[in-house]
Amino acid sequence: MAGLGYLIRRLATGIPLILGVTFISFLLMVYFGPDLSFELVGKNPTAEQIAAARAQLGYDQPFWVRYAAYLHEMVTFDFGRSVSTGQPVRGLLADAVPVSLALTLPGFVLGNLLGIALALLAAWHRGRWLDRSIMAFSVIGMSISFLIIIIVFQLLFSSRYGLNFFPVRGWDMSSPGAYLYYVTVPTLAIVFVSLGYNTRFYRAVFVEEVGRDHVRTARAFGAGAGIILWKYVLKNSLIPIITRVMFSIPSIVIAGSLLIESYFGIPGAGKLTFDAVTTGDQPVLKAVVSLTALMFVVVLIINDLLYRAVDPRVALT
Amino acid sequence: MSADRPHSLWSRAAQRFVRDRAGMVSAVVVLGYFLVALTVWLGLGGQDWGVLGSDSFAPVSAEHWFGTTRNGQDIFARTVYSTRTAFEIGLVVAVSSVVLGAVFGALSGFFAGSWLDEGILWLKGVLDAIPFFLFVVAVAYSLQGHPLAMHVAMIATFWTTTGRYVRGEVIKLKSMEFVEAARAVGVPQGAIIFRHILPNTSHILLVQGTLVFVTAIKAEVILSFLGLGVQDGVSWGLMISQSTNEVTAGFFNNFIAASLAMFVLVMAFNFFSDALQDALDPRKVSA
Amino acid sequence: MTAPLLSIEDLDLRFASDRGELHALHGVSLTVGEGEIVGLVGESGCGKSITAAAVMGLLPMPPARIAGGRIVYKGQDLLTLSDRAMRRIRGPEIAMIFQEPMTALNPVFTIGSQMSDVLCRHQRLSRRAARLKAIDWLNRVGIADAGARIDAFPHQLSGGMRQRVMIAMALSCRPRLLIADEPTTALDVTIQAQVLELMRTLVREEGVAMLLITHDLGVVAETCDRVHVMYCGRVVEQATTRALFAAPRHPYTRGLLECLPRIDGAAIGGRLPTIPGTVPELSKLPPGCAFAPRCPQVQADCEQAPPPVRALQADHLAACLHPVSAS
Repeated sequence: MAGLGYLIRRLATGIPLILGVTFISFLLMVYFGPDLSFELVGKNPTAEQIAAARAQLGYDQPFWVRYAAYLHEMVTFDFGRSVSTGQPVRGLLADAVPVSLALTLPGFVLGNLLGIALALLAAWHRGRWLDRSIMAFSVIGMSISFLIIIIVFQLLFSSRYGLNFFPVRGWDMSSPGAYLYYVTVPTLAIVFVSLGYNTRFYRAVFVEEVGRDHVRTARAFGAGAGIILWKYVLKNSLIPIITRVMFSIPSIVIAGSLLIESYFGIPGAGKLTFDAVTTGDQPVLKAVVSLTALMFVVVLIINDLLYRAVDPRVALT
Repeated sequence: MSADRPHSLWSRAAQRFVRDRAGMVSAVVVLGYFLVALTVWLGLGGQDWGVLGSDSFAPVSAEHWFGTTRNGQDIFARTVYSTRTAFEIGLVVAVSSVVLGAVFGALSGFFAGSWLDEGILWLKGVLDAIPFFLFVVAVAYSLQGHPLAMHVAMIATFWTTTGRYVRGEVIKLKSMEFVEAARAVGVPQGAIIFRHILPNTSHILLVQGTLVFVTAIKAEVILSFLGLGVQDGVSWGLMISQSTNEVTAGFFNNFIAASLAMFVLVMAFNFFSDALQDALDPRKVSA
Repeated sequence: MTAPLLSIEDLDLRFASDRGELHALHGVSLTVGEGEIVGLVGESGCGKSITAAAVMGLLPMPPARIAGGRIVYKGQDLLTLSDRAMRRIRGPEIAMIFQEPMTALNPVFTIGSQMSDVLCRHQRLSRRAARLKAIDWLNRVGIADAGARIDAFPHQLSGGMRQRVMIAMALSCRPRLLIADEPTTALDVTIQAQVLELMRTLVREEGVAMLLITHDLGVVAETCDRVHVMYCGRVVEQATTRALFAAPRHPYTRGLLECLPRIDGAAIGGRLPTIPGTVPELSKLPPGCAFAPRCPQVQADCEQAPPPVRALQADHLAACLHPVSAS
């Protein structure tokens, strides 16, 4: 079957990428990372104790052996237990990834939808005051640091200087009410920080599309702004939109929003990764990096398949 | 063609830029910031940023223009000194990553399709596949304690965009007449790439430089908050992360000073970069 | 004489640009009667496509700005219509065909879906009825196996076929006026004649008026009843096709005609003559007649002010102070 053959070929081309991502990450985080042997041994260790700890952590093996062992772990997706907490890595990830998704997804979706809507508006009124003001506000939004936005939003919504309604820290997804309670302020912050970038990106895409001959044809045949924008322009712009959305997925799932998670004390994947780097928790790091690389390749493939689905000119090769 | 194109491109771009009001205003603002940074470099201002005073949370006064921090440090001096830090980071990262991107992009484009191109594309793909903060955290951590760890991490990730644009442009340029001519008279390959082709991509490099500058300044704030940024000295990121404790206590001077100083510079730079792109490429679609 | 179907009166159009305002149309006037085929001829950049876009209300404003004049269709000034009212004109009243059949159709929808969209919009047909009607029209424009081709995407058709689809789409709206902007320029020479013939036949059958925009006088000779010649944003000559080809009065028109290869062999053995000089840039038009710098019979007064359009005979107008003699 052509589809299956294509899938296999595409997966094969993903292998160098996976190797590259894992190798560079491994080099940085594991090879150059902190030495944990002294945390395993007690005070005033003997030389034997240190050597035993190093052997236990695999430090006495040559680099290539350690990398190969890592690749083996990746294929079986079994990374053992976290050095710092002793819990199985798979369980840690299974707990953290859904939290990150639940935390960032609403803001990501809203930020993109709002950005697309504003960009359509701006592109249609290209060069007029509405376009100019939307673009000016985008640049202003892009100029505010995420950290500043988080601090200000916390002040506005979660402190006695503002509404003082939403929580400053913590996370709870046990009920929809609790979820809304904890997710609102982070979502607002994510929407705010991404809106400027999204609007600018999508406007550039739409302006190009609005300028195309087929849009002029549609107008010449009496189509109104609504149909042209929502049907023709949007469908013709699906490829850049899909690309942008798809390639954000690995960062959303893995990196989550490190900043939000650490500022709001939310136990997501971003915080898990950050803590793993700073404590040198190699099993967790290996798992995170593998997951990232795999997900990137999967995203590449799905992206390609989606291109084929939305654009009849793209042939299966 | 090779001699006359860049010249007319630049002079026409300069004309267009001068007529762009937002671009000119933002250029003046950026220049103002640069002058502030310069006075710090020359030792004429902001040198007292580290001096601890007895006066905790002093209000705005003639002595302390922006008040003081919890530790009694003069916020104005810290804000001014941080301008220098920002320019240091922005310039180092922007120049290095643009140079790196230009070299890799030019080689990749000139030898498009060869193993060298494949290798560089692979490296770009790999670097783009690692989420930015994960990578920066990893580099910053593996170079522990090194004051330039953050810079290295940013340079290593930021060059890829420049590289991609330069590669595309070089592929276009290498089939043009002036390159054919240079080849025909026996100019060596290295000279063709770096003396004949690369200068013709300088408009891309300039725009990319301004974009990287802004990205670097913004990344610094977040990295410093996470404890991976500026190691010694003071920066807007350090000021803001220091101020998070003060803000909850109701003292906003530190936060507002650093945020505003940074916001105005980044915004001016963004508008400046836009005006530059408009001037260099009037057909560009994003406003 | 009854009022013409379309009459453009003294249209003045400008574009904002980097180097100040560009004056694209300097008081252009032209008429198209019911069922009449009128040619609008000129070199690229003379403003003929802009004139067509202005009629359709397709110019981006800004940068374009209409500084004066009227575009009267069936007694109403199109320039004063609301966007909504204008949308009811585009398609069922005035339809348009474009130069580039490659890009004028939407690449991600089938031609059937694009034709049905138009039919559903203007004729309130059901999806099924619209599809049948679309197939019917595809047959009429000579597309073999229309029942299957209707589900093709534009990239699966040749350029000539795409242009036939455009013609089918335009005529299926049952317009009173068809504006065709260089409809055959992008096609292969052999296909050009077929498509032109098809358009002429269908337009006559349907009793539709046509404004045919082209740079090719040969196309005009084969197709049009009447011709307007444009140069640098002005109509410089207007006459019946027969009169114009028999005795061009404006030196520019004569120059254009002399550039045509002739079947009687007048130019055989030598190179085709060309008009010396180049078309001046819009921003650097001379104060007088725009053609004066290239005109073989220029005189001092030509460079004073743009010459007014004068009737030299009944139904033969030219904007020239010293027209070529009629004999």
